[in-house]
Amino acid sequence: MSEHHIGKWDNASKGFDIMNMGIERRYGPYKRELFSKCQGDVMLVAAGTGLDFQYFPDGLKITAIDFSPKMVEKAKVKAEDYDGELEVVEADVMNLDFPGASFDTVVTSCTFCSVPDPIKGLKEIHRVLKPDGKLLMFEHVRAGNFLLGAMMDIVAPFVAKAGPEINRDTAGNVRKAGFELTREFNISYDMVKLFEAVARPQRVGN
Amino acid sequence: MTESNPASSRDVTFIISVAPESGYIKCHMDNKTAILLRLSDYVAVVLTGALCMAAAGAAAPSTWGMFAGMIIGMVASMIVMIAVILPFSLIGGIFDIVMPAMITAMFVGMAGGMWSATADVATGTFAAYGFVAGLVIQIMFHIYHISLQGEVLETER
Repeated sequence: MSEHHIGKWDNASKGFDIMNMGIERRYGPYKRELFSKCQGDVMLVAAGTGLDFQYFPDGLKITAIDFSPKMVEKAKVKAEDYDGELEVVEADVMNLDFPGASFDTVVTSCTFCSVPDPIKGLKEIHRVLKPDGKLLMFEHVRAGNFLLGAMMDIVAPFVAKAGPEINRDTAGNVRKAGFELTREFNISYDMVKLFEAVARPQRVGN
Repeated sequence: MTESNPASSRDVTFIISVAPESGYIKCHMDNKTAILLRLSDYVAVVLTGALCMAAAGAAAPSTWGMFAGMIIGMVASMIVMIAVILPFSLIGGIFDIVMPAMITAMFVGMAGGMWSATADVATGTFAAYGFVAGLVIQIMFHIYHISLQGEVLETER
């Protein structure tokens, strides 16, 4: 992960909770329902300041990762309120230190708009998921409509200076990383979505 | 099948989707919150329309011609749009308002700039037209949102 990316999200950590207040209010119920499908050992990718911890069912064993030290610092405080086992560690989803097949479920929440190489990150998730492990995603993506999609493409480079890339094809990236996409659910237009995917075992030679 | 606990009788259940692989998703949100969030979207876009068109009209001088007026109107409109939607994004997030607000700002910015370049129009008139444009665009986006929301069928992915 480049210093630029780490610095960008370290800076974003300052007003992160306030900036996401509206998103949590509107989409919190959807996240809660999605996260209720977590089973076994869980990894949360890009925990941010830990706003999403509140949506996990109690009693899980969760490893939450983020590459921004400032985000991790804030997330550790919120982790103390979780009624279960929640460890927050500084890690980069594109280069995970965890051994293969370590987790039963991986959860992402507005994550793959920010990972510099999303396919590499998703392949790492595939590696650390157990065979047939679940990937649960709450993500915003590029609009399918021609006009809206084109507008997002124009605005994306400017938004990316201080925040995420808003025109990612996350469904396509999930498939390219070797997952079987089992579910796609539109929350707001076709720009905010829930995805569910399964890490099917890779064939030798793939 | 995964089900949430109904929080209270005032709750409204949004989109119950059936997916054979993964069961149900039920999203319970307080009825009042849901209505207020949608109302906030409407206010944000309507306000964007009114203020952006007023700004575009004020920014484009009548001596500059229609093309210059259109460009200046659009630039002024986009700046005002960002200032309007940022506070509203703290209420219900930015995703639901950014697209209708951007389309509204583009449209009323162009129209306001060109109109201002060709005629002497009162700021209140600009604001009123912008208000109507914002309302119409937000209604269209609301309908578009309803048509898309929910399960994406395997054949459509």
